[in-house]
Amino acid sequence: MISSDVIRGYNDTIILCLLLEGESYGYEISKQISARSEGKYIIKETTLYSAFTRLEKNGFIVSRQGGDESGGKRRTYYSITQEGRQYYAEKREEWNLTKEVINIFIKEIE
Amino acid sequence: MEIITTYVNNLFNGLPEDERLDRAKEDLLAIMEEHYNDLKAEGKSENEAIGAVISQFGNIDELMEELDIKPAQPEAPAAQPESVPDNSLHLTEDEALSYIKYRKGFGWKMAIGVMLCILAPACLIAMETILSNVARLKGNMADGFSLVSLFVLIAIAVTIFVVNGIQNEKYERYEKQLITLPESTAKLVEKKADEYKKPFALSISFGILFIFLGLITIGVVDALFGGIDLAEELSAAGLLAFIAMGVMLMVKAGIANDSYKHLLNIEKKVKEVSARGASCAASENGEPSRSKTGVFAAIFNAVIWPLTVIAYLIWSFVGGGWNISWIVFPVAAMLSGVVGAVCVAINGENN
Repeated sequence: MISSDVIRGYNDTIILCLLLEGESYGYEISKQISARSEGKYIIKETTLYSAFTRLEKNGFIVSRQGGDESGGKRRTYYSITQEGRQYYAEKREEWNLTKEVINIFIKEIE
Repeated sequence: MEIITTYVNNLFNGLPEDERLDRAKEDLLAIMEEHYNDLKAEGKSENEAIGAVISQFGNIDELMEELDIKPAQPEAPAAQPESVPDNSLHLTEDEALSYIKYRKGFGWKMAIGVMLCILAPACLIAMETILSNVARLKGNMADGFSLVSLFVLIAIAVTIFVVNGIQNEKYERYEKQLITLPESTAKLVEKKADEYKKPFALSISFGILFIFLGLITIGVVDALFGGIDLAEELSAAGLLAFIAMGVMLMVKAGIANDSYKHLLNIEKKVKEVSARGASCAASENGEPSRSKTGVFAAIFNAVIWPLTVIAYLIWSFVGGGWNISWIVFPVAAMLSGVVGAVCVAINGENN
């Protein structure tokens, strides 16, 4: 189980990564996170929604209301902004640095 | 899906009015509904789908923090399944400690009262036996004296119960209401409760040991002195005496332990309900069960032991089956143990 403390710093980054591929909506993002991590990380709905709120507040994403293709449900669609892409790049750098440092201290157990 | 909607509505029910929260609820429900439909389309059963969706919900406190909304005041959000009285009782550290001390004394007195009640018939048997066989008093006189001793003991026991009961009225408000303790006091009480675990276990173990000793007494005496009426009758008195001591230990320990639990569990429940009431929709339903099973176990015990003693005495005196009537005690002990264990298990699950 991934510790939520550890992943907390990167929830935003994960969402932004998915949005780089194009506009998406709440459930789709939740599903993609589970699918691509092969079930290793299943994001809680409240965590996801909190992240959306935070990202929008910081100007990294924008939202619009819309229906799905068959004109049925009302959904909130999110897309990444320029600031969002920048933030994503920064977090990517940060993660690589973090990975490097931690790896120094994580030895393979023979 | 209605179940999911109801669940979410309940969680949001006690929260302050805020349009951002309303929107959050809508959006969350939309996501959950799509998730639910997806799972159903995959072939999951209704229950599986609902379970998966709800368990993926998360923690509403996190959401409120993000939106920078303060939680509702602890007093009675409307949607509590178990009505939390607004006037939960706030105890100071002194009051909590004196309550504990008082309950310990109360426990002792109750225990002694119960012990006397069980000793009374023992005394009856013993005196009857000794007076008629050893002191060679005439039948009626022996009966008379032994009956007197029985009634004297019972009278003392009843007096203790009555006085105890009257004194307890002072503390009745503690029993009736939920109790809130200041943080430091709660920790202190928790520490004391922990410290009490060992003596508690010891008391209970010894209590059970005494009861078994009593049961063995009959067997041992029968083996060694079988055929001697005096010995057999005295061993019956011995059985009761041992049981009396055993029960006394268990009652005293039980009441003392209960007072800690009362101060703490109740306090914990209030904290849980007010601070996390929203996220604990499921476990809140455990509250009534806790007291229900606890009360049931207590009543069951209170009823079964006197009944057992009476059954034993009748079987022995009237049926003349001294040699096998003792079996009612282990049977009662087993029943009592099973009921107790079941109640604890139910409590454990719910808590």
